[in-house]
Amino acid sequence: MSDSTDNGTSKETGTGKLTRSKRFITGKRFRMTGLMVAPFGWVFLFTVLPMVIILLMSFWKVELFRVVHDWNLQNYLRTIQTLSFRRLLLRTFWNALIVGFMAVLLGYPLAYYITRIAKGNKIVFFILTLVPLWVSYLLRVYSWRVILGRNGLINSFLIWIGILKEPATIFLFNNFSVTLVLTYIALPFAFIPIYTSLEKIPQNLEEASKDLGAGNAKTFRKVIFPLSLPGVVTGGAYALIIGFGDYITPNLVGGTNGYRLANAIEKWFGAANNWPFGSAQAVLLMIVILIILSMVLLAGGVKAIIEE
Amino acid sequence: MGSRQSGAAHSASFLSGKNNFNNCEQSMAEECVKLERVTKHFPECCAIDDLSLSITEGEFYSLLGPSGCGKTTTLRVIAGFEQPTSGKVYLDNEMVNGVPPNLRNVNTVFQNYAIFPHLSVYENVAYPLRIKKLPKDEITGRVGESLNMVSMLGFEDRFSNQLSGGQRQRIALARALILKPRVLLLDEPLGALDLQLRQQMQGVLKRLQRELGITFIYVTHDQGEALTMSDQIAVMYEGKLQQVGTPKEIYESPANRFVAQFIGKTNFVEAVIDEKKSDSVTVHIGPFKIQCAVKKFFKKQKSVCISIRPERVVIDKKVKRLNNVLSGKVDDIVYYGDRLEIVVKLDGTDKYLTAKQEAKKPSSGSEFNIGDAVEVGWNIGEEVLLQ
Repeated sequence: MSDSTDNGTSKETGTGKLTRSKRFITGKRFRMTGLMVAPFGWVFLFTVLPMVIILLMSFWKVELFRVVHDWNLQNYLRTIQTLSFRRLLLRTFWNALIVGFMAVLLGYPLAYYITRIAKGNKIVFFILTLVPLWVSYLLRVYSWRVILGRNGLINSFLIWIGILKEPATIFLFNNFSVTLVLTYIALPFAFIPIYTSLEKIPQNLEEASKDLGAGNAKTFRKVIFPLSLPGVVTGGAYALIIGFGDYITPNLVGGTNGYRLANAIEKWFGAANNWPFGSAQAVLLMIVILIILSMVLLAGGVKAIIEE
Repeated sequence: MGSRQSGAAHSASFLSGKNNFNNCEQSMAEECVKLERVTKHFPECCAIDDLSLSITEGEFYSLLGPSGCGKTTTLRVIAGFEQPTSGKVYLDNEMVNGVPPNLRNVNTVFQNYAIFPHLSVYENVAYPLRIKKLPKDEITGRVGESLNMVSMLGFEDRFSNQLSGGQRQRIALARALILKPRVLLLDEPLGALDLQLRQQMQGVLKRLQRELGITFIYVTHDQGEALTMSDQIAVMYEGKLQQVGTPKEIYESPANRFVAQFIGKTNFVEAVIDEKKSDSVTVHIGPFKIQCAVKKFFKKQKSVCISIRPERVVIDKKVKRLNNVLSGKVDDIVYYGDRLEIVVKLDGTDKYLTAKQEAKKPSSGSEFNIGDAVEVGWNIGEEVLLQ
């Protein structure tokens, strides 16, 4: 009661100053707008504008090696009708799913270990997990060639212990190596949301579960895992998207077997020199990713509604 | 479904719950929880130091002390969340050192209630029964019974963030009691509630404890709460047990200075011993000779500390018929509404004494003003001598 009357009086006495404060706010707002010009301009120039161009381009066509502004849906129809495109999309999606799944499978125990068991050294472990992100992406992919290649670490080791007589070529330039390296690349991105969600679970919920008769395994299954699910879904989605759209990794360690949708798109922009066609495929790829993301958001939203 | 009734049928259903609980154990006055020389070290500090407690079945037992005194650690040792560095813990005469919390017949109400946020109220309360894989009908019945007990029927489908603090508290209680534990541990359960709700929940807890006959071990830093609710109080300070006793014993005969000043208000006055007799000593405070009753043996020492409660100090212009009378001047008057506290500076010393006076009717007069010459006094035995 006393609170509300306090508010009432302060509002009444404050009316005289309202116009001045209003002016102040508008002034502040004006300055804020000025500050936002740079970041918004950046995002517009380098993210929004290129996407709009790609979207427009996907409705044009190429005649005599030149892009003609002739509006049509042929790029999309041809793309969807092509069997090889559908196969490639499916294979890319399937492998991205594996990447997402594997990244969660590896990232979860790591995050669990750091948040629940290695409590004292939390920060050290957390930073160690993220250290790979400080190293150039290209360098990290190349280093896998050193590990998997013909004269790489694995082959040398296997020859040294006598399992192989000659270096094997099965480790590199195939689908397996692409999925492996993409999982490695995606791991920190799956790890961070899982870590955050595990970190947020209060210790006393775990204790309450044990106090009420549940052992460690049941406590994990009934309390910890369900509460960490938002992080699992988010982390998995991040990894999946990385696995879906990346073209450098397949380029460097994929060979012909590791060929992915993004590589095909690159070809249309490069060697095949048909930008409208490549744009249509890029837009389709983006649509698939948007569908995945909105499904994740929807799942999160539904969860938030339940919790609300 | 029979137990999902409205509040009107509350008491009838509640009694049936009570009978169930009583079936668990009929024997009276048995030792339920025992700590034997328990010490718990943490890397940073020593949380409990050589603590021995014996808690009788069916008692409302409070662990009272300022924050950081080791009372919560004691509770966690009993619950099984912490293993003692040395010493033994017994539940029902069985040593439980090393037994994990899920295998102890003890349940806890946590400080922040620890309601599972991803489960509904119903599923929260049913949680321990689901772990035990009880049949569905029994779960429904017992959850209803338990919710009824804390007047929370009708909240089954809500989630933790749709409940107020007091409601969460009740759900935590219903969940902790559904297994009918031998001992219920409560870790400052009312700390987060506002004053009015706290008093209401004190009543609920006390009633539940009396009617269920379950041993409650109640951790609190609120001495008022401990005094009004407990059968026994253990006062702790810096990991050590200071005193165990009924609220009256703790208040009337504190064992040491810490207990005396932590429980209620008191005056500490240093005095010099003049003469010792078998049942009393004569001391002086400045120019005043005071007689004190001796309740326990004192080593040969020159000075003691007299603790006297403000409400035992009689104050007037002229005090009559009291053993110990001191004169002084009113130094300060503090108004509390229902009472006054009058601080008197004793003549010829630099010592002060606070007297408490019930608020008088406005007409009755005889109010004091600062600077008035007054007399204060008390009868022998109303003070406590401390070292």
